[in-house]
Amino acid sequence: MGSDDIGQWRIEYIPDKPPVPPDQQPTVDVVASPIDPKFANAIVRRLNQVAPLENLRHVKRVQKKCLEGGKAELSVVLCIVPDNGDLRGMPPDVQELISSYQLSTFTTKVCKYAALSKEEWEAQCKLWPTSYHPPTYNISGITGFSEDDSRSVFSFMKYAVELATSGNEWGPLEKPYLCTGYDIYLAWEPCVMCAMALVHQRIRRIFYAFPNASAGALGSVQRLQGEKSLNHHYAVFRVFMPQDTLRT
Amino acid sequence: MASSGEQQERCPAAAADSLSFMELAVQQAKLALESLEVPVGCVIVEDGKVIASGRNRTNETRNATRHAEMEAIDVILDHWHRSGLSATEVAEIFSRCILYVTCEPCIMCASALSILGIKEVYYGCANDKFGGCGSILSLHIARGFKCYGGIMASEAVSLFRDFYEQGNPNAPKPHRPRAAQASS
Repeated sequence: MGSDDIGQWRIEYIPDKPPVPPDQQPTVDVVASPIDPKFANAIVRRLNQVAPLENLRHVKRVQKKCLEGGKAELSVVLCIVPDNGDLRGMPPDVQELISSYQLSTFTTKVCKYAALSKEEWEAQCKLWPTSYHPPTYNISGITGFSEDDSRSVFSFMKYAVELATSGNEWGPLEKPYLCTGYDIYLAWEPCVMCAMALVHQRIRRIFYAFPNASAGALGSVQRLQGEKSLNHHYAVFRVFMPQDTLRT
Repeated sequence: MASSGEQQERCPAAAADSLSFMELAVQQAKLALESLEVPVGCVIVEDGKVIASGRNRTNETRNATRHAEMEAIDVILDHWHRSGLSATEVAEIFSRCILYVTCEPCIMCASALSILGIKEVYYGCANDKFGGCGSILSLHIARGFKCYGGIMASEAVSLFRDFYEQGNPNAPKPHRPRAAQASS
């Protein structure tokens, strides 16, 4: 075993929501209109009062497009398209704004959820500009592992898989009430019973080597780490192992 | 096959029976409360007879997974194991068993019950943080056991209220300030 093996090991974060290809993110229909730049401030200020984008805080109100000759064209999101699709159902204050500025409206799509990655954000902006705030997590590892941390993750995982294949048992060292701050290394993605037991036990991070397509509760069948109602949330990682490690 | 009348097909446990078994589960929950445990209790019933009971022991065992259901399941599994029953026999008996529990089983316990293949579950109050029988996940549907809620729910809720008023001295980190001890 040399350090050459490290290159084949890999840790992948399993996020709270199932990943969607960046170009297939859910969208919402909105009513928009080109506006005269000299009225932009007044219109946006008014819109923020009468039709704030409550659940679309990541969506930028104004889109700026550069036209030929260096001129900029501004468009603004007026409101979400009413449920029945009938624009007469727009808020009266928005309709009043449309007539007083003689706006010519069009409908367009914006992304429904804030981007979770730079790739998602770039795809979103092709539809309509959004803002992107890289996630700041307080569980270490979600935003990446140092080389030292990776090495220790790999060695613990190697040990876990060895235990799974050798039939050896290793009894508990001591009996703390909860596993606050502890990590667990599993050969297999746990089922929903065990995944929930780990919630009760307040484990900090779960590392597993092999997904369980028929019963796994951390990405395969369920995604327990994304259940917001639970009183504790751990971070989940899959550790990819080189083939030769598995044959030993 | 149940020998009771056909009109009971839709709700296999007669109402009076459910209440008396749930009463026993509430007794278990009260024992938990007296031991300063989160007050949840349960009984497992086979062919109209109580074969196991359990109550929350998370503090006593210093193990957050020792819920009432797990306690009762382990009591009866241990008994069957010592009686020399085979895995097939155990599965057959479980498929005739009914659980009465004061609070909707959590995701962990609901999953355990479905793996064991229990027939039915009757619970008191819903569990809107962890419930695995409809509140958060619906594990009873996927793995097939019948589930009925709302039996003596107010008794179950009032035990919780008593518990949180006295405060949980063993909780790792209270999320809100504890009420003054009701010991005077």
